[in-house]
Amino acid sequence: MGIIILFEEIIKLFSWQIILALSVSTSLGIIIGALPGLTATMGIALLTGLTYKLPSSLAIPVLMGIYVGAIYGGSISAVLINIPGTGASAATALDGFPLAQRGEALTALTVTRVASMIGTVFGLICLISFAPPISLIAEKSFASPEFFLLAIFGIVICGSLTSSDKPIKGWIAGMMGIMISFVGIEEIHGYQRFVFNNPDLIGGIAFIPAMIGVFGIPQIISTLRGGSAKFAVVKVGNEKIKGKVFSIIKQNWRNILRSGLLGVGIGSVPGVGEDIASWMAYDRAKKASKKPEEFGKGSYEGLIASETGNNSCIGGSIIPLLTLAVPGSAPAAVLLGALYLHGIRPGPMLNFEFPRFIYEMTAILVWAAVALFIFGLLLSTVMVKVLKVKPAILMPIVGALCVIGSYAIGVNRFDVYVMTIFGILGYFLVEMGYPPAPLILGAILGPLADSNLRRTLLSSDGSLMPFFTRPISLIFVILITVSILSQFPFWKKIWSRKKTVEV
Amino acid sequence: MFEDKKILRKADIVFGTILILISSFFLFQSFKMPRTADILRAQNNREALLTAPGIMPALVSAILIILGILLIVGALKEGAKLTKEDLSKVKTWFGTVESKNTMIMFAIIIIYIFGFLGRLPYIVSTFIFLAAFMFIFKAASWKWVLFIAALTSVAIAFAFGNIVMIPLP
Repeated sequence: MGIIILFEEIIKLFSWQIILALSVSTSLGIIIGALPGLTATMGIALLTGLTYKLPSSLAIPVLMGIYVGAIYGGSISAVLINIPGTGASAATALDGFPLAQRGEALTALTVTRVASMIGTVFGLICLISFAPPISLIAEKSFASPEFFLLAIFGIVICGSLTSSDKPIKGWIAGMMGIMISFVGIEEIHGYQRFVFNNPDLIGGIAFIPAMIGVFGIPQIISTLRGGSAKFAVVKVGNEKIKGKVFSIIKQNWRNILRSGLLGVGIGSVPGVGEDIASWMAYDRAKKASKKPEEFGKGSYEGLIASETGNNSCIGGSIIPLLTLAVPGSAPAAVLLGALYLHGIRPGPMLNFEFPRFIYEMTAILVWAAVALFIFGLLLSTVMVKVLKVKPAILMPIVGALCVIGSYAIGVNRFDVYVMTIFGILGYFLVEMGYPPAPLILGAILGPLADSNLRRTLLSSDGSLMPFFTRPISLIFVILITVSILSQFPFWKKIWSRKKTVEV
Repeated sequence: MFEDKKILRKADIVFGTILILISSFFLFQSFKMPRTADILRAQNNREALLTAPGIMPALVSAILIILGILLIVGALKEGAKLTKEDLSKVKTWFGTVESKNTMIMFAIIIIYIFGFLGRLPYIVSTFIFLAAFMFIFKAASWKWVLFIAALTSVAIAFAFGNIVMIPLP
């Protein structure tokens, strides 16, 4: 039944407007992803403003096209200039650039394109397989206690996994995000919190401008603070790749399957996303490889693992987004904000309000994967020229786009001020080792946690027992406790002692 | 991120202290929020108390205070200390090319957004912003810089003003 609906949606989307929108947006996504300094998150956030007035049937394919294109696009600069265009392609650069230096740039680019497409398809298959049953479970078993704990679990796990310094910094960023979400009118009583007599704060801090600031401004500063230099682009020669790519892909089918599964798994964990998915897939591939010594020196196995992992993560990150309204990655968090703007409220009620939406999103991904394959081929050689554009030209333009992109949604200058303040705050936080992903996840999940905690307390007359007596709640409590305790030295000591005793 | 762990730990002490102070302020503000049925949309005081708007902000502020303390304790355990010499180190940092470029970029962005936007026509303010930014960072020859800045500001104004049809800032 589900397959029939999916095919119906695929055919429904085959209109010239949507195909054109997906083609243009996927191409733009590839360019955005390939240009160092522009990420998938930034691309979706900026395009949310630009497409705000479009009908949702057109705006959502555009944003999905940007997402899929940008995650792949990062691999082009990773291969050609050894600088990953997005964090998701950092592992790709390790093997992609040595391959390009060896004169195999075209093969490497083709392999990353095929791997990205396979990854996207793998992700969408998992999306269509897992989202409907999860949605059903959420609909039947998720009430206020579960939603409160899910939000907290998302922030804790995202904080632990995305922090480049100590996990505590990820948690601080997440809690700061929640605090930010409290500004403005709250849901239950309509009380104005932390407004300080400022009328601009009554509606709360606009999420998309804050996001543009946190991800955009630090990137501009960190790209140009060392001065402006041109990127050294590796030449793309005339290699014979016919048959070679197919045999590389064929040899790596196990690697593709493993990386795809890992990507979907990491994607479905709240807020973690493509960057970690590609590293995990790369690491696993290296451990499972018969030639681990080739990793980092130009291994196609590594290249395929990273690119399959990050693109399959897209489908994975959309599973919790649609079923529970919890984004699986930073770009998915902006996508969630964009869906809200277009009147679509993901979560357990989605099946009632928009019964075919999960299938529609999967169908969009199908077409985006096709567009990626076609336009990735056309653009990979063009990108050699685009990458020669100096960052000192590109970054000011990004700055101007951040301003207009944050202004366009609410047509409010205050949103531009929000973007700037968050940009400056984001820069210093990133410099001190605080990851931006939990901050954003906290800002988006804060209201969910807030209203559901109070509803739980009201229905239990102040008792905290529902958190421990309801099975799914209890699982979340255990997961949260283990996620926190596992980051402390005494927990690690206990485990290492146990292992020693067992030995 | 600061590459030097010693600097990072010193920053942890400073940031942890700021975090504790700000969170304490928000904790205090959360306690000031109403908890009775005469102010809130509740049928009785018990319901108002259990759904009080300050519950979650107070909880999160308290967690942030604890995390701030843990951050400082962690840094102190690793041997971080704030000394008078750190002030002179900060002064030296302000003299580096990286810090100068960072400050210049912040200045350009702040002047554009808080100074020009809304006071000058959008195309003019964006043109000045782009041209100044590109010129300072030696993006190209001044003729090219003027051309690119003009073209970009007109293109953005056209895309948002005429295609998306929003009143420009």
